[in-house]
Amino acid sequence: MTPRARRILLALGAALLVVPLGTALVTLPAFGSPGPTYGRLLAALAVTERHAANLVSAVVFDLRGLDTLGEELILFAAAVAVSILLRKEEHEREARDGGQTEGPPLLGAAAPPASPALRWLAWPLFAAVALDGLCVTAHGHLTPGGGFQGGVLLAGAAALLYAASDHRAFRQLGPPGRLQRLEAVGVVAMLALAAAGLLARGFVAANVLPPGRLGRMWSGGGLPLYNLAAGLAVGGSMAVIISDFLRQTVILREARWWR
Amino acid sequence: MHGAFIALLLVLSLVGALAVVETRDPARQAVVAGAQSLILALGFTALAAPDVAIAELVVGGMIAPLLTLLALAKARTWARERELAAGAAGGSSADASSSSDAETDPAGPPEGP
Repeated sequence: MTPRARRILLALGAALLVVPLGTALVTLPAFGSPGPTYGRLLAALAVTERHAANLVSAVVFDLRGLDTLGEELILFAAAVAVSILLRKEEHEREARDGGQTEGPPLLGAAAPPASPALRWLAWPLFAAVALDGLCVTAHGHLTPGGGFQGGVLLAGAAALLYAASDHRAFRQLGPPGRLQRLEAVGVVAMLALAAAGLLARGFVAANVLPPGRLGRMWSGGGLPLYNLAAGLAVGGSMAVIISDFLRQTVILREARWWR
Repeated sequence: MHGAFIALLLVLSLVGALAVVETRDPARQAVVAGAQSLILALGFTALAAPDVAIAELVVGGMIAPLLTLLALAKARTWARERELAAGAAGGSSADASSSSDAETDPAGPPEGP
């Protein structure tokens, strides 16, 4: 495509974008205004009926639980796709830590060791982020955050483990397949909670548990269980993706050129 | 005061976005994009959405740059390994056929930057 044609295409696209975007911007409610009726309805319902102090969690896992289930399955499918794409192929070998496998001089895991500064920074950060991940997941129905935020924090903590030492520390999180099992348990638990709502109340992810007392650890109906399940599913999926990328980069080497 | 802070963060996020676009080296770009996530996370916090801020901080500030850097490292290692293999094959004519296989292999990833 010539630069001229490209510019014309850009102008056309920009013109098409500017009109609806401009209209939408002009008709937006004022900054800080109370919001539409649906939002106010949800806000009233979540607190009075479900006893959930964290409104967002009540919307995400209870009132709009079906949407969240779909989103979680998208992340799960993405993690599975990464695992399939980055699997060890026949023409690949696992580089040993010295970087020499038998026969051909395969490039080793030649990344320099973490500097002392990085190690001293990353270990405390790992502890803090992991603790924060557990805390955010456990209190998802009470305070901002929830299963998704807690899950990515836990996966981020696992990534910090790699920053603090090397890929071996990450892989010592468990034998191959443990992360995948955690992920699967989370996804199945979310599906089971959603199905329980469908069977008992006729709606996917409808709440089936007593609401408890507002502000207490056991409140918000099934929200605490949902947050734990989502924490496992999201944290597991993200950790599987990071783990597969690390393995592909640090450990797997091409062997077909060295026959 | 709060309004001025939000305005400042909006301007900063615009500057950050431009910095990401203007950084041409992919490895540096991953780091700059991570820094841009910190600005966005501050913005979400100022707009009373701390849960979004947590997700932005971890996913945008840490996991996405890490995955980008790992992918770049793999592409570079792959390219360097192919060079080494081609060099080794140049020394002995017996290996020439296997190295030319590699040169024309359509299944391989593209060259690293």
